[in-house]
Amino acid sequence: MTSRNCAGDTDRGTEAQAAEDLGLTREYLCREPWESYYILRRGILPCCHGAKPIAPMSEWATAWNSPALQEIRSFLAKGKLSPYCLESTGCPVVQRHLEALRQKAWIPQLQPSTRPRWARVVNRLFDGAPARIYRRLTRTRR
Amino acid sequence: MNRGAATGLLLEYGEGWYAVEQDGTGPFRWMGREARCRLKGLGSSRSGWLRITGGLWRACASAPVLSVSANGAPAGHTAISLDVAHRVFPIEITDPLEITLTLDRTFSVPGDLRALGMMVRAIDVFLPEDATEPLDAEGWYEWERHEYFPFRWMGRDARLIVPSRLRRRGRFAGLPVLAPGETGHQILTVSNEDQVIARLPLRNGWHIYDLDLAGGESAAADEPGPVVLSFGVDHLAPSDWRATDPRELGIAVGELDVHDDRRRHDYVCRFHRDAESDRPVDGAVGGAAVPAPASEADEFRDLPIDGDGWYGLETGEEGPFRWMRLEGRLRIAPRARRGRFCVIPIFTAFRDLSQELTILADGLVLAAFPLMKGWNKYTLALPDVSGDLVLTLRVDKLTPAASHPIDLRDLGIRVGALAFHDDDARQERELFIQENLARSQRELQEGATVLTSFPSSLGVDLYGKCNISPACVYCLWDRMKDLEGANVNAVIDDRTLESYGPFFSSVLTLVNCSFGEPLLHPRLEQILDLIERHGKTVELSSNGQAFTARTVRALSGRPVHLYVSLDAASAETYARLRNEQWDEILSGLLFLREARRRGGGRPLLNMVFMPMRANRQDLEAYFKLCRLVEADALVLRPLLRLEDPDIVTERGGYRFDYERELLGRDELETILVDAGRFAEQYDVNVRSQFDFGKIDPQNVRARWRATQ
Repeated sequence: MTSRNCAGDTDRGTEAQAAEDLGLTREYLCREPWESYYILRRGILPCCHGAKPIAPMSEWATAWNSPALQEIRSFLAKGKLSPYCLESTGCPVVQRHLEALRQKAWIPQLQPSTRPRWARVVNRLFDGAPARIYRRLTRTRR
Repeated sequence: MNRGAATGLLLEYGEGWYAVEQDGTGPFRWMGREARCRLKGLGSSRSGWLRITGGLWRACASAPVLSVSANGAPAGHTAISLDVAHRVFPIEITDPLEITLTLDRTFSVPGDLRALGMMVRAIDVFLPEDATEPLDAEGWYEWERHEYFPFRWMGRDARLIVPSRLRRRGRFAGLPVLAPGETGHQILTVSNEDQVIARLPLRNGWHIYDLDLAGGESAAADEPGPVVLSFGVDHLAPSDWRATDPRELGIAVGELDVHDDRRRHDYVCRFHRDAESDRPVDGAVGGAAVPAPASEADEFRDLPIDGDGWYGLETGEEGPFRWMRLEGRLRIAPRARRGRFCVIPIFTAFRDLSQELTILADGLVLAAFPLMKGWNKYTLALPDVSGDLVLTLRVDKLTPAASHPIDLRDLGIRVGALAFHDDDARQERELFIQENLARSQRELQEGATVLTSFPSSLGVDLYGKCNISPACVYCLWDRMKDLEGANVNAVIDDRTLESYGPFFSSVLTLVNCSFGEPLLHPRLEQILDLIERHGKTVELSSNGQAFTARTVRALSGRPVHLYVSLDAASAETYARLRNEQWDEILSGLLFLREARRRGGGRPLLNMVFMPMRANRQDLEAYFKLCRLVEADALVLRPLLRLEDPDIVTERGGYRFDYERELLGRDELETILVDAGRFAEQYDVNVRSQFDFGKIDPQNVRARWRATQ
């Protein structure tokens, strides 16, 4: 029979040790850029949550090892999220990461912003043009 | 439920009634030999119908005859049956209306001194000019609400009175019907007065039929009056169907939905007509098709174990398997070896290639490889031996005991059903996949940035056109089509996929990510052929509006994970998000259910629901819908938090404001708990994709149990 002490250890080893043995502790934040690839009309994406294409569709044969994808892999291999990933705020991994950081109060400003009501009203009055211009400007700055 | 009956009436009980009682269904009163009552609030005088709902006590030996009179004028008489049922009598309505009910006999019950006649549940009046819903006349049982469709059973014959106001809504009528008999066994005949308007060979289970109330003739120009529809089935439900239910059951019928949509009528009729060509169903018994093995993998044969290196047969998400200790032997008889190549599904809990498997035959090493995380298929060429072939499987280490503290066994690997084949090309393809996976995992562990391996999952963009226009309210259609630019009309088909070379041949799963409806693809069958031939699976997301006999047939039995995104369980909610085609989707899903039964459960069906303010009231009905269509899982998916969700639109009488539709954390938590409750109640699997660092995505059923 297995016994368990108050620290959660058993006489058959600790769960932490088991996780280490199974290779769970050496997992990256995300494996997608090694295992998945998206050849879509809107371009090549490293994962389904990618915010923007890393190459046009026609470059599917070379984009797999393109500098953009190499950079994403390189960051993940170091246990970090690349700038590309951090821009892909629809990704659950990024959301979890940002949430963890928010809880530590490091970067509260990184949460996707919700515009004030007056800005939304103005935007609608002009058929969304202010938001489009704003997006274009901020994209250029990045 | 007093559907169709006039409301706001005052019923005064006079002489001859006993006090109100209650049973499992609701309140009722016993009457003696004669009973009187008065109805007030009926307005002006006109013709109408009086409906008495009641029945007898089961021990009553013979059926008495009930005579009804209104204001002293005889309205009719009828024999009273054991079951509670409706009896309808045409009358001249006045205000007030004096009603007298007379029975030709009473009976008594031991221990009860009363002279009992009939138990009466309701007395209603139906005003054909005012009513907006049909009135159940004779032949119907009580309404039930536990299925997706509210319904009531009928025996062999039943009558339904459709009021003028409803008739004016259109010439057609959708009718959900549950036929317990096997497909084609029961025939439903619907007549309007003496004219047969439909003769429907019923398909097994729930299906939606569409009636032409004009019976195919050109609609009359004058104002339509109320009609009495007669329903008749030629066979009752099979005797083993609900054997414990004492009622005489024919079919169950849902609400009649009168409409004027010719396209919808034609769509449903065409589906039924085309589906006829799918019969007879292989292996069908009692109408429900027995899943036929779609491939060798489905035809599970237990492992030919030899010796004591194995534990008992278990079943997991990937199907049946056995756990092996450090070493296990398989003894494969010559007749079981149906090919030179053997494919073995193996699961390892190690995620770092550190567990190695060696396979030996007669002491010689046949193959040795590191095991890749999770379930994977390993292929090997078998030696040519005449008698039994004994394979020894040996792993170099056990799964750490602390990783399965409740299970005290020594666990090595899980092994699934063996498959054999003689196809050299397949062997080559599977070896390539196997070697690529190992290389990929090695490069991942090493943190390589330039890869020699290829992806195991490929996102593709099969079809860029959609049949929903304007797009779904939350769809980023215009933005995406802008991004697609010159590729917006690019043709992606089976030939394109093959042209991807190793990027296609290396993958296990293809995921269609198109902004478009993939089932509309003109080469859908060829694409699915290619994917099946290469032993891959494909994930397709569909809006559910492209189910036709062609697409349903193309999907049947295929290695497809189908995600049908409806986000609504009623026509009203669906209209808020998309359009008015809800009823056609239901028809399509019911035909898909049949095709999946024929195809051994394939394609797998996942029904997607994104909770938001517009649809959160539909959650329970969505579970009922999933049970109705026999979905493999209900997928709860979050509405994405967009950085700039500037989407405000009016649709279906609802103002959809994207930002306002996003639910807060507390509301989403409540929905997940509710989902757990409904999952238990309706026995539907739930997969939560609320893995966004805010909502805990753990098993929703477990969450609900924890709250109890």
